[in-house]
Order: sequence, then C-alpha cells, then structure tokens
Amino acid sequence: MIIKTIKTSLITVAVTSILLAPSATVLANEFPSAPIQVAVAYGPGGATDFQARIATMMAGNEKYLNMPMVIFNKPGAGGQKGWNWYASSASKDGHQLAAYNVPHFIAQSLKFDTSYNINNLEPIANWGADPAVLIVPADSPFNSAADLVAWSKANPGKLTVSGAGLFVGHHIASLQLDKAANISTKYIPAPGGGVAALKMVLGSQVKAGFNNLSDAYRQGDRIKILAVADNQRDENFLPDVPTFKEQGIDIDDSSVNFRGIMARKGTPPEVLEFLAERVHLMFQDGKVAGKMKAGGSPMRIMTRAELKKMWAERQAYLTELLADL
Amino acid sequence: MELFDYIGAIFSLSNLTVLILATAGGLILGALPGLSPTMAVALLIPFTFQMDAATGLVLLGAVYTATVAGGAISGILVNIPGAPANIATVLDGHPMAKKGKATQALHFCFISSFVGGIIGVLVLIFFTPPLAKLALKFGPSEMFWMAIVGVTVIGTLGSKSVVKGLFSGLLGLWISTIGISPIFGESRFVFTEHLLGGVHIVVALIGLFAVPQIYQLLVTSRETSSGTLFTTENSSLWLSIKYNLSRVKALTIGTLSGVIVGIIPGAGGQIAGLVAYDQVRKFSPDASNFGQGEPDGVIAAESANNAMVGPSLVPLLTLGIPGSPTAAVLLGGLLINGLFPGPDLFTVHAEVTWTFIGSLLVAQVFMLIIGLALSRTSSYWVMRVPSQYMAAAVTVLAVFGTYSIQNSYSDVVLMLVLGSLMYVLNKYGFSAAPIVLGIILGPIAEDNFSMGKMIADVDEGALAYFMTGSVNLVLIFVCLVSIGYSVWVEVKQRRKVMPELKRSITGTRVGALGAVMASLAVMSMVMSADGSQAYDFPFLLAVLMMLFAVLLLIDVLRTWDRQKSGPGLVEWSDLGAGIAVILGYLLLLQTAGFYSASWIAFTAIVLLYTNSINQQKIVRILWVSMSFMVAIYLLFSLSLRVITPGLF
Repeated sequence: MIIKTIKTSLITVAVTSILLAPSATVLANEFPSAPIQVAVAYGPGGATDFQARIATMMAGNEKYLNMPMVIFNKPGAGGQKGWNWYASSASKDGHQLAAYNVPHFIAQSLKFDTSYNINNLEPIANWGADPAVLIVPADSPFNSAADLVAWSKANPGKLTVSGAGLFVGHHIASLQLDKAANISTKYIPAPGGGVAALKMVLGSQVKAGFNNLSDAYRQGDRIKILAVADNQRDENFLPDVPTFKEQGIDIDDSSVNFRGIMARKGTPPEVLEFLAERVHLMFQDGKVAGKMKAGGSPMRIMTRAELKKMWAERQAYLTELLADL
Repeated sequence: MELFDYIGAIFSLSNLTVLILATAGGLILGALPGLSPTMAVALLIPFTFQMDAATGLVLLGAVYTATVAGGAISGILVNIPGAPANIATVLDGHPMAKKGKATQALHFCFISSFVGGIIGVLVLIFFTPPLAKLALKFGPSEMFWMAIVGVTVIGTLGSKSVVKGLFSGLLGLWISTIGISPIFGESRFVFTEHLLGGVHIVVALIGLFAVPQIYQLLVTSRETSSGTLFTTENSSLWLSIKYNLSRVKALTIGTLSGVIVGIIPGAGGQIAGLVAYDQVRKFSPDASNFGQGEPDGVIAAESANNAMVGPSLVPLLTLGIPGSPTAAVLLGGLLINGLFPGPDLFTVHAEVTWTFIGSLLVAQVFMLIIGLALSRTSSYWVMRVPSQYMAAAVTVLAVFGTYSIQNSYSDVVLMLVLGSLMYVLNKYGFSAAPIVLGIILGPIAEDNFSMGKMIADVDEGALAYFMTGSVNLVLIFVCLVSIGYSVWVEVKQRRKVMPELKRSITGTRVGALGAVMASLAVMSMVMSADGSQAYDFPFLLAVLMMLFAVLLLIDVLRTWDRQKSGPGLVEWSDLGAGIAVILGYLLLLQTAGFYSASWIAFTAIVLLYTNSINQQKIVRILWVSMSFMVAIYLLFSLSLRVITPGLF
C-alpha cells in the first residue's frame, strides 16, 4: 500500500517537473528569450488597456519580436501605482516593458512625489494619439468654442467642465483654455475616468467637458463636439470639427494623450535599439491598423527619436503651465 | 419581435459549443476567490480576436452570466464569496450548508439566478429606450443618495448588534478613503507603501471572508476528529424547484432590486444582492430567521445579482456607458469588433446584437442545467475534504487570487493582514459584510458628494442641488423609510430579547474598548493631517465612529455587573502554528518563488494540523500538495497567464 502511494507520488513529481521545466530552463543568450511583459497602469477595459492589447497583438510574429507580448494590469492612483512599480522594480533586460500615457505620467511626476520621471524611462515607440475635444450636451446653447468662452466671460467661474481626472490630458486642456481665453473654468475630475466624465455631459450635469476624441466621436449626435485641442483637424474621424487655433484660441497639442511603449533606464542599448526598430514596425502592421480603426482609436506611430524630443518638450511646457497651480 | 429573426444564429454549432464551455468554465472561475466576473471577461477578450464578432460576444456574455452565479458556490460551501456580488448570498447560504442543506442552497441559488437572469434580459430586450433615459438622470447628487441608501442597510447587515454593524460599516468607509483621492489628488493615510494604491475591493473581500475562514478551519481540525466542514442531506431537486418558485415575494423583490440597481451606471451588481437581501428581510414577518439559514435570503440575493446583468447592458448598448465594472470590459469587446454602442447597434449590426442578446437568454438555461448538475457533486466533494486540507487550499488560492487582481505583492500583504484582524473582530461581534459594503460605498458617496458640491458651488448651492429633483427626492424618501424601519425593528427586538441573555456574550468589554481605540486612532490621524478639503469626509467618519464607540462603551458600563467573564475568545493555542506558517509564507513569497512558497505553506499547514501523523499520511499529504500546485500552475500560469515574480 505504502509502496503504491510512494510510486504514485514519484510519478506526480515527475509529471510536475516535466510540466514546469520548459519555462524554468530559459536561456538568456539572445533577446527576446521569453515572452515580453507589458505593464498597463490602468485597469482592464479602459482605452489604454484596450489599445495596448491590440497594438501588441502581432508581437509573436517572427518579423517583429518572435515572442508574444503579454499585457498585465497594475492599476491604482490614476496610474501612479503601476508606473511607480515599473520605474523602481521592473527588470532592466527588456523583458518587462510598460505602456505610457503622455502627458499624464509627466504631469504626475511634476506634481506628486513619484519614483518615475522622463529621465529614468526610455521611450520605445508610440502607437496612438487621442486628442482632447471640447464637448457639450446636444441641447446646449453653445455651438462653437467662441459661444462657450463668451458665456464664461459673462458668468465668471460658472462654467463646469468634466474630464477624466487630475493632471490628465483633459485637465491640461482645460488649464490651457483658461489661459488662452482668459476665463476661469471649474474643472470637475470624474473618478470613474473618461467614460464617467462623458456621462456627465450626456446627462447635462455639467455645462461642457473635455474628453477623448475617440470616445466623443462614438457618441454621434448625442453630443456636440465644438473644438479639437490639437495642431490640426482629425481628417479620419472628425474632418468637420475645427481646432481651437482655427477658432482664434491659442491651444496647441500639449494635451494630446499619446500612448506607447517604454522601457526602464539601464536597459542594454542594443536591446533598446532592437525594440525601437521592431516595435515601431509592429505598430504599422495592417492587422493592428485594421483593429484600431474598427475600434475608433486614432493611431499616430512615432519613433524613439521623435519621442525623446516630444517627451522633453512636454516636460518643459508642463513645468511652466503647472507652476502657478 | 426582431429577436426571433436571428434566434437561429444562436444555435449554430460553434455558438452552442462556446456557450456550453463558457458557462461551465465561468461557473468554476466564478467560484474561485479573486477571479471576479470583471477579470474573467477581461482575460477572454484576446481570445475573441480570433472569432467572428457574434461568437466572440456570445462567449463574453455567457462568461459574464456564469461567473456572477458561480461566485455563490464558494460562498455557500466555504463561506467565501467568489465576487463582491455574492456577499449577500453568503449571509444565509453558508448557514444553510452548515445545517446540512448545502445542496438545497445551491439549488435555490441557480434556480433564482435563472429566474432573475431571464427577467433581466427580457427587461433589456423590451425596455431599453426608456431605461437609457432614466440612466442619464443619475448625476452626482443621485449617485450620492444611492450610496446613502446603501449605507442605511449597513447597520442590520449580518450583525447581531446594530451599533456594531454601523461601526463596522464606518470602518469600511474609512478604509475606502486610504490612498490617493481621485478628486483632490492628495494621498491619505498612506503610512506604508503597500497602501499607496488604496485597498482594492476584491482584495478586501478575499481577506475579510477567506482568512477568518482559514483560521476557523484550523481550529476545527484541531478540535474535531472527523474534521470536515459539514454533513449534507439528500435533497430532491424537484422539491427545491417547487419550494423556490413558491417564494414569489423573495423572487420579485430580488429581481426588481437587481433590475433597478443594474440600470444605474456605476453602482453595479456589487450592491444589487445586498439591497435585495435587506428588502426581503424587511418585508418578512420573521426577520430574525435571516442569517440563520433562511432560504429567502439566498433566493433574493441570487435573483438580484443575475437580474442585474441584463439591465447593466442597457446604458452600455445605447450610450456606451457601462452599468457595471464588467460591462466596462464588455465595451472593449464590442469596440474591437467595430460595434459602436448606439442606435446603429440595432440597425446596421442587428444580427450580431440580437444574437448576443438572445445568447444571454440561452446562457441562462445552460447556467441552470450545469449549475444544478454541479450542486450535489460540489457539495459532496467539499464535504469530504478534511478541514486542514481545505484551510491550506484556501490559503494558497487566496494568495494567487489576490495577486492576480493587480499583480501586486502589496495586495497579498493587505489581504492577509486585514483578514487576520477580521478573525479577531469576528470574535468580538463585528462582521465582515458591513465592512465590505462600506468599502464599496465609500468612494461612490464621497466622490459624488465632492463632485456635486463643486458643481453646486458655482450654481444654486449644495442644499438646493442635493435636495431637489424627483430622483433625489425618491431616494431621500427611501433612505428615511429604511432608517425608520431599522430603528423600529431594533426597538421591537430589544423588548423581546431578554436583556440578560444579550449581555452574557463575553468580549463585550474588549469589543467596546477596541472600538474606542480604533476611533481615537482614526481621529488622531485625521487631525494630524493638514486640514485640507480632502479630509472633510474622513473627519465626518471619525466623528461618527467615536459616537458609536461611546454608545458601545455606555452599553458595557450600564450592564457591567451582568456580564459573565468567560475564557478568551481567540483560540491562540490552536492558531499559533497556522499564524507562523502564514507569516513565513509572506516572507517566502518575496524571497523564493510563488510556487515553491505556496507548496511549502500548503504542506506545512496540513502537516501541522493533521492529528496522529504517520508515514502513510505524510506520503498522502505530499501527493495532494504536489497535485494541488500543479492544478494551480495550470490554472493561473498557463490558462490565465498570471505572471508571478521570481522563478517558482
């Protein structure tokens, strides 16, 4: 009896070791030697998570990384929890990457005590750019950004504007609007994120809102989109909506929500270069573009060199904008 | 009826296979602590990339339905709700199991889920346009009152004393304020880095329910020789169906509550079951049966949380605004297939949309059949597991389940610490359900109050903003009725129950003193922070906590001479070994890998808590622990692709 049980347990041990062995004996001579993990600092189902899953879906193809990218969520504190973890504890061999949101993480690193900033992170490639748009309920009397500014001047401090949270693109856009039009809006950060902020506009609980172009576009004629906070119009989704600049309000693309992949500082240069080249190519895959377009997510693919410049510009601008806050 | 034009598509071979597999898988996933419906749906989204749009959505819808019901299985059998939605089910479901009626409780759970689920989907099919309008009426003031309605339920939820219940609820509300405030951007009560992200609701749920149960199982295994959880009687399925369907009142209240809560965006199914449970108890002629294994409690709670599924899709399908966290993930599933919520969904994409909605109906049928089939097997199976094995398995599952929520070791620490405290609190008459409800309702109440105040300040003022509007007035009325009723019941009960009997519970003194100390600690933390706006809500909570603590103290002093002194309530001598293993487990998780640490912890717990150990038993323990770890590996690493730190 005992011998029989010992036999069965030995078999179990053998089966266990066979099952566990392949992943344990990973050889680390060539990159990537294992699936690459990508940390997303927001919960499942959000725009960042949803787009990250599409953007990385082709990684396993031999043209790109020849290894799958696995998304894992580390949400909390508006992204701070996940990025703090990433900048302090993730591995530096290129097998643990993270998705970034600009301007969020830069603004947070300026306003809060975070373990991350643009100097200890390395951009790899950018897949998307979602500009903030100014929206009002369908039955709102405002039909242009000028109407809204005029009303706000006549009723100082009474213009309520919802957005996805503190120091995200929407908040930056609202600060820029205050500065450019010389008004003072009352910004309402919605703890439920962009969708919750959008709902407050739909339900007329606020007078206006800043929201993601992609989410606002999907609402069709249930809301009015008055202006795009970017340097040019969005020709794919909203060709008829003018930018703020076209309407005489000087707001640039500083609030545009850029999404992409980054690595930790200290990652070997050859790994960084490899990733920068292949991930950039991977984002251009036709299948990725098809799914992104179907989901109404505007793409903007940028290289590592372009990103380095963009990060530094944002850092300088946000330092100035947030200084008086 | 447009649905019928597309009904054929549901019964294609691929859709049917997906439906059956998804339902069975969803029931099992739902039963594991930590694997909430939200996570299950999120994990499956990548798989839908490979399917056509309709099949992908059928998969997500069926998993959503099944996981919500599956969470009740572990709740009833082991007293650990699989997801926040199942808390109310546990309150009477587990007492039923302890009385030998586990199979019957599971029968009621699935039959009620079926009834609620079908009606919920019918509501979705027939009343979508008017309900979408109603959903939009819920702004910050309405959401605030909705949360307050929930708070009024807290006092009587699973607690013997209303004051202790309210104190527990306040403690939960306070825990919800830990972390960075999303409105003010200030970090509150973060005295260790583990608390930076706040306390995630599912982490608290696992800790507060599973960990006390682990300790309880360890004590049981020391004190009884057979060491099993409960025995179970045969129960006829036919009788269960007949009885269940005759409880019209409980089913109606449950389904109605579920439908209403489901429509309100953001409230979600987490509170549907609790609201229904509270209502059915209030309407019951014999409220004291609740908490003792009253079938109506299970029936109301389960019909409510499945009735919520259909309506929670109303704001999602029409406006793109999800009614529950799971619906938020489903939104991603729709978008990936190019389906934008709105009128187009029912015209341009009518085939996919109606196939999806129709499949939700069919999924309810499969859920019923598979659930009922599992009822007897699972209760017999759980019944035969010796307590020390169950304790070890729950420990490892709780750790993996918690870790997989946010890939966070801090969450594992929080879960074990909160849970260990809860075990002690349980002994002194405080219960977990009000704390969890407090954690759920805290952010809804605080954030919406703050947002509402910001909006009101530039306009009509807070008083007018919160006190006018038809939905606000209805909700305020419901609050007042709910409070009035609780007070009336409390007064009635005080008269009925002999005061001597009530006071003889040992630990009253310690409980009151602990409450006073806890409230003083919270107050001193609030006072030592700079008095910014972010601390208004915690200050209010601290004041209320002190008030209730003083009430408890007065009660103790008034009855001092009538209290019997008894033995200590916590069985430290039985628990010493278990606590040591769990502490060692926490340390090992960080140094060794997750799998080796878990294997060691599992083996150690079973070894230390098996009576009269011999060679044969040791071999058996090693064999079981190894197989268990293989199962965990297959489930978490291979199927769910959870990435654990370290090697093994």
